[in-house]
Amino acid sequence: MIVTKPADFRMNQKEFFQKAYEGEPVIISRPRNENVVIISVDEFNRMQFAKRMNAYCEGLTDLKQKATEMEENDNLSEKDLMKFYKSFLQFMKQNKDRLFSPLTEEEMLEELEEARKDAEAGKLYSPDQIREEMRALFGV
Amino acid sequence: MYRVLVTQHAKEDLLNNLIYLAYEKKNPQAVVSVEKDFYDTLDKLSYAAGTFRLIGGQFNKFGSRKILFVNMHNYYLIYHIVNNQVIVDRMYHVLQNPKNIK
Repeated sequence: MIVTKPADFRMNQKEFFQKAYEGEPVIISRPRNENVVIISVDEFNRMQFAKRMNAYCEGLTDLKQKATEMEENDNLSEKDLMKFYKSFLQFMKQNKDRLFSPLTEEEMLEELEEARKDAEAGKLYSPDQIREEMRALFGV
Repeated sequence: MYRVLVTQHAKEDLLNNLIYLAYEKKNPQAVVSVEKDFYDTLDKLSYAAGTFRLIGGQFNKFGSRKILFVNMHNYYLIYHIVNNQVIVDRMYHVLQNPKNIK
């Protein structure tokens, strides 16, 4: 990590940019602690990705907790179910980029295996049940 | 006639796709159209599930079959048959699978 002053930075801009591009963050100290950092685009993308994944994992944990609570609770009302679905929709909306990425063959096989386990466990729905749920969700 | 049943995963696949169309594409007509296509495809499975060929390659071990959506949408269902029951395992968009499944 390199720390420099604005005047030095201006004098050796090219060199600092190259260092930042090669992976070394350059901090430019400014008055009143209004400092800035120069990093490479790769580093920036990595940070953004980590941020997104972090938010995704947090959301997923919340959702799993809610689902567990619902599974344990026998007296589920339609309101509770809708509330859960709303949080699920919200979560899906925020994470659509991750969810709609192309799959590899291995991932697809894994998914099919999971689906088979579902089927064996009897987690199955009739088309009418699905139609009702979708109607409630989308109003169509 | 087969009895058609859908797994939790396939149901979520449908839901994800409808959410994508509703929220991202903001296209309610597409939501209605894809949803209808899904049910039409399930209807077709109820009488013709056995006529579609088994998927090859590594997928062969599951004994799965594939049916494209009947009304022109680029989605397909992966299913298998147990006795007189058709179980829909997953729903995919053709672009989700690099090899468009064997």
